[in-house]
Amino acid sequence: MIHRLTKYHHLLLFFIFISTPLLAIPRFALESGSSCILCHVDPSGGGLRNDYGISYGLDDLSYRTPDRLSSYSGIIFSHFQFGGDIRIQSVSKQKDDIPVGLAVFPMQANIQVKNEGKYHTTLVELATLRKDVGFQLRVNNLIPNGYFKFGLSKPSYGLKVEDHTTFIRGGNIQLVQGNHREGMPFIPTLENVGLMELGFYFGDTFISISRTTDGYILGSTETYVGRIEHYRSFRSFQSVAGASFLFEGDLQMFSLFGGLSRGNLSWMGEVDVAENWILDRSIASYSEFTWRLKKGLFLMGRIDFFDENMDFTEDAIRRTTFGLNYVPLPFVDIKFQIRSSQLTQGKQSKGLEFLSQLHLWF
Amino acid sequence: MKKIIVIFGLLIGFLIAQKSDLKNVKVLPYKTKRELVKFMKSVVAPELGVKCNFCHNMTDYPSDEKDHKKVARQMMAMVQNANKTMNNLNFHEISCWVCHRGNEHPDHPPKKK
Repeated sequence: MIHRLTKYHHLLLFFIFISTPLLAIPRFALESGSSCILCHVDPSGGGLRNDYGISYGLDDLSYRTPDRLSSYSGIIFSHFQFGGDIRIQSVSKQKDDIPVGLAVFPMQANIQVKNEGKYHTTLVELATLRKDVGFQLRVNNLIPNGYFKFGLSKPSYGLKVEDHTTFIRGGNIQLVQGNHREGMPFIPTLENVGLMELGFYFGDTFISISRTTDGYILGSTETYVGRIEHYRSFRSFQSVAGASFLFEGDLQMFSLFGGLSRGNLSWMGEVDVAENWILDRSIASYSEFTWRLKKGLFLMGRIDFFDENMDFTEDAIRRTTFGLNYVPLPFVDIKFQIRSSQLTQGKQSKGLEFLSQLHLWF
Repeated sequence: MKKIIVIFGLLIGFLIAQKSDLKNVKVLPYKTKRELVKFMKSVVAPELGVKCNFCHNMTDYPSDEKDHKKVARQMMAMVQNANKTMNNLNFHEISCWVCHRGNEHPDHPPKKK
């Protein structure tokens, strides 16, 4: 009985912790050769799509677009745009390395509303599963080719990949290596904090600098975050390179990220180093290849790495993931993934994990 | 505190919100943003080999602050005029591609007078 309770406990914690904040798919930015604001209302990416983003979803992303959806704009009452992201995930339940069933749970149910005037854009987000709210007012023409944004939100750091279990984001909620933490601090339960952000666009370069009123990660002192990214096209290649930093008291983080895309092939990667996150200096990396087989159908392969004390021989985890991503219709995104973790010091891994996710957005 | 900020924000939004329709479109014939974006994405950007930020302020698309946008508007008016003549002569319609061939500037610009 005690054993059963513990299992349910873990499952319950997993459900609660996994409610995802708004995240983006940086590969689309790379392939389009522009920063997140090309498709998203929030310049930091994720969440509500703008006119271009909706058009991209309808025309370029999905396998087919029914006529009745082709004029979708998300506009209600002619003044407001309404949108949302719903994710439902299933993970295989293991028993002695053998999958014995599926745990299905809601992962995200966010609703966003936007309105805009000549000089401003207002965005409200309701993360219903986490019972958190976000709000940002962006003043557009205060700075030439830039913006000033304030409200309740999250600072933008590194590649905000949509999978929060990558080690560069939040990593493993259920520890597999027995470390203190298995991933960087960006777990899904981080709440929106008071934020001021300045953003500048210089041609194909985007720079953002933000400061929070409270601690974003540790909750102690204010957080300072900076990020720069540069997009470049040469011949038939699209590329992006960038860096970011985050300072919050003793916690210091730096990241380098980049990507290269040509035709149907894309690669994106990031390396993060954190001082005083767990033990002295921790490192996480992410490297993902994607191959577009045909419109709406993608194959991916990814390697994530994490070491809490950067000695590479103890407490390190390497996770290999293969997946299929199918977008049969606009606003419907289905993912299947198989994962395997390799642990150092001869520790036994959990065996293969099977994940699937249904993502609906509008 | 969070609730107060969100309610305050919503109030501001309600008070100063504008209709989400096309703004500052002077030459192109489109009635909806969807039609306009589709044209820009599938015709203008690839035929000039440029991205949106070549002409637009990314935080304020309707703005005319970039000179490239003003030139693009004149070019589009020129293409529309040319197509009126082409139609009268039963020729195919032309687009940016005829001169630009995927480049920001045509490889063979008109000779200076």
